[in-house]
Amino acid sequence: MKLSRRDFIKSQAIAAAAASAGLSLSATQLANAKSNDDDDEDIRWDKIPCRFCGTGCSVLAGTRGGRIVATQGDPDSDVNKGLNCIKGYFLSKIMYGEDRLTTPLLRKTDGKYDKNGELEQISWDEAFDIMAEKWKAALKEKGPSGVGMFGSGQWTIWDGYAAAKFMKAGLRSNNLDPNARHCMASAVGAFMRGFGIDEPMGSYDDLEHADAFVLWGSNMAEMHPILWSRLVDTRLTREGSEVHVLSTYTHRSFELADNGMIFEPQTDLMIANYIANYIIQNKAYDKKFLKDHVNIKKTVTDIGYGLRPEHPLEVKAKNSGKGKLSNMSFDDYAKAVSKYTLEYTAKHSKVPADKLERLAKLYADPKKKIMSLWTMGMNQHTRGVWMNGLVYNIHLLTGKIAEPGNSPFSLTGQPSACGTAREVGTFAHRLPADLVVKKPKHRAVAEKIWKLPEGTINPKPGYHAVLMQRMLKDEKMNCYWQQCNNNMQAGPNVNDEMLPGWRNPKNFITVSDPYPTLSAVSADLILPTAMWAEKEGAFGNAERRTQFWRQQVPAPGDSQSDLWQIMEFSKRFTVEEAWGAEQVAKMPEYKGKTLYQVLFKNGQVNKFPYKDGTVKDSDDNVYQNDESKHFGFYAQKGLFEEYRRFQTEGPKPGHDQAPFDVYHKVRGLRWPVVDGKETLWRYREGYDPFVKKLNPNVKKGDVYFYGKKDGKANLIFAPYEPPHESPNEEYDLWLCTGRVLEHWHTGTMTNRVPELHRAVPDALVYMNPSDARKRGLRNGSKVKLISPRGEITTRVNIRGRNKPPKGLVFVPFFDARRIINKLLIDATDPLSKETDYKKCVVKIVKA
Amino acid sequence: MKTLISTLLLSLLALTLQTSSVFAEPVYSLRGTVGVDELSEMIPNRRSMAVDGGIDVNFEDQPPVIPHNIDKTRITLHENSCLGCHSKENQKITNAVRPPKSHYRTREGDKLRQISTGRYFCTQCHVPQAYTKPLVNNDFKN
Repeated sequence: MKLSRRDFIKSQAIAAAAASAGLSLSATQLANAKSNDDDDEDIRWDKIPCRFCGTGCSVLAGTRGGRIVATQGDPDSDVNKGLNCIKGYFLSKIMYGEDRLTTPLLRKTDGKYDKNGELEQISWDEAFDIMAEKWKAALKEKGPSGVGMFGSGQWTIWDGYAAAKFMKAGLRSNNLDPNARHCMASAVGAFMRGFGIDEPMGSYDDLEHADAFVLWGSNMAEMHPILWSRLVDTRLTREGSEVHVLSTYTHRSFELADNGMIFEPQTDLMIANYIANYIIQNKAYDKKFLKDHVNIKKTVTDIGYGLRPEHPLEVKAKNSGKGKLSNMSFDDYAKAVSKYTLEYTAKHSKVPADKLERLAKLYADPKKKIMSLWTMGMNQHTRGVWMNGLVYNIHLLTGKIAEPGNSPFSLTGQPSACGTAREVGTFAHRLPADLVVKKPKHRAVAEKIWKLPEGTINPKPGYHAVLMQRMLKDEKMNCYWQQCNNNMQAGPNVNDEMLPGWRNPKNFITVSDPYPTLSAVSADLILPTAMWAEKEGAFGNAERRTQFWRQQVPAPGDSQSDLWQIMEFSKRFTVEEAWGAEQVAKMPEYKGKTLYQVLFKNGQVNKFPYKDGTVKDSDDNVYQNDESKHFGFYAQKGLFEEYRRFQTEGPKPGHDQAPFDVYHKVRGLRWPVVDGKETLWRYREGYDPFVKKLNPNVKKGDVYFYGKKDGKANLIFAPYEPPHESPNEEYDLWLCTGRVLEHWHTGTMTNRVPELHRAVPDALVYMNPSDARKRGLRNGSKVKLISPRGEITTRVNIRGRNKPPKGLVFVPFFDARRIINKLLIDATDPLSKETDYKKCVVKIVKA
Repeated sequence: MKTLISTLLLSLLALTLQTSSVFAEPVYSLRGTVGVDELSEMIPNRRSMAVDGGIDVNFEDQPPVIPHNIDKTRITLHENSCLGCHSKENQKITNAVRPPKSHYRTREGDKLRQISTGRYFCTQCHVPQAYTKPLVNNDFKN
């Protein structure tokens, strides 16, 4: 949109006319009014959530002639109020990299599939022929565990729902996991253990209600810039507001810190326990809150590091992978944390005692409302579930939870890690709406809603993200389909645990992607994929806000959406092939039918007819919907409405979303949505309608943690345990990896936006000047980073935005030309199975 | 290493010639011809762009990129050296680009005399540029 002076006057006049008529016009209506009036500027504006992080900003996309020609921040969005970060402002360019894939590609020699052949263009028919042949062979030989799918927290809600249904109901395989395993699984684990329901109790509104903010392993300034701008606004305008930042290195969020703390990796476990100890010693805990709303538990210890079972560390661990909780008295808890004194914690964490004490005093002050925020520093941690829990402990001890401004808040990384990966249940152990495969009651609910014969859903959890790669390498799983992520660059231990499985001649690897990523070029079959504005979509952000968008533009060439690909591939299997005759006999009416007929043409998903030209906005602009046109029914609506039944018919209350059509009209709603109203704070009467519904005796303003049977949250004690590896004589540095503001994850989209590439062209190694000097290095020196697992070359940066302490270096992972994840160990939190991307050992030599 | 790459390239070329099918097309990742299991070439030395008069925007609402080096710029709780040149007051003297009106409003849209505290960290939206070619051309058209 070109906003000339004439346009501006016109739009002001329209707004004024609307105002005098008592109407308020939305930003899109205003923008459309501006451009529709102008003959040569017929740009259509429509809302769409940002494609990148978990914040969930809304943007307005301007479309002309079937292409996005501009984007701007959406002023009507409560999340971002018209503001975007640098990535968000360049969304308009992400679909237009010149190397978009436009046809399926198969490795061939002499016209036949050959794993060592060259990629050749083929038709969708041929693509699904070879894929079905390989998948059926694997199913026949290994059963449902022989195939697997790796999806994404960037999938739309219906992409994920269809994938879960296809894998779990269709192929009876729980080998479905999202890349959200790499980023949010520890947060999920702690929510389920502590509260029995996933996702934060508060909302982004806490950013304007809190007095103080504590960042535990989160660099919000770069990773959640718009939420950071809201936090900065509060810090700089509210009297007495303060910001505390904890990290293993100095980063941009420290620029605002009143109390910045650099701790030795893994000692965050000590710091959280020290704060609890301080609160107890100073009698600053809320006795009544604890008595009425909290159960105190302890977790089994010495649980290993999620490595292969034969790894010496797993053999040595007494309770490898165990998470059993047992009761604990308050006195025993007080005794357990009493070890974490100020002196002890300061000594081991290397954080000065006065800084630690200042933080503890803040939490203990009954007058201060506190928002704790964290992301990957806490989740990508071999004790991530424990660590998430230890922060909840502090909020539960003080009763500072589930009310405006008092808010332990787990930020998500991806745009729909919550909405899709977590809520829809695309994890190897989950079903929609917080249900799990191992509980017979939960399976029964899913089988009823999905109209499946009893016993269809496999009770055994499938392979999680890291295990999938191990199983490919070990030939236990032979077919793998990856959608909407770039695991070859984002997964850990690429050389030892990823590439071998992909290259194994027994395995058939399919990757769906819009661009030739490292994953795509490592695959046997590439499926060209419609992205973002090229399909109708829905994301769920970190504050439980579900946001929809309409398809804005067609996808290039033969590209098709992930949803289309899943539904179309399901046509290739009969129920007999997928389930076996015995299971089909339980529902003879399904005999001879395809999975597509049983899963998607089941009278529910295909319930809503679709005719071209029927998807319209409030200004009567018409939008395409390529999948619905192809299948002959409104697929997204049918899938969403079927999915909603899990929220009300399942045994887990409090997940209600609004009907499909509502979301196309609003800037998102935060679930639970009851009678059209969203919920900003859960578990507190007056804010959350489920409290009274589930416990009529609760008084106004009181809390009821209804995710647990007795309405009480779990405070879970966990001690410090050492990390999986620590710097030694040869590998004498810690390596921490992560993102940068200007790039999204592996850079598939942002590396193709020239301005973003020029902003941060390379992944440099950020290091401490004295570490550099010790090795004869200067700013810009060429170096080789080496771990026991792999190496990269890069240049040194000692003056940049990240300033590590002595003994630690940081390298971002967006750069396809420097695969830093080759150096990482595939150690995970043994409970959540989430990889620790923040700690491994390396050495640095001159290159 | 170099000989390995050239051998690979040669064999790749040979394969392409052999298959000479009309459908065959080389597909490269951002690593170009360097395999996932190989080491990439060293990064060239980078320099920030310095462009008098600024760098044109692609579309109306794009935040302008920074046409100069910002290595010495500091934004902290106590100082914002960007505003040393760019604030409404100082730009009259320095002739630097003045922040637009949008920057002088609260989140709720109320007018402000000073730049909005929500926009205090300039580099969330404005970034410098290095002299380097795009990895892949982008055919966005405004």
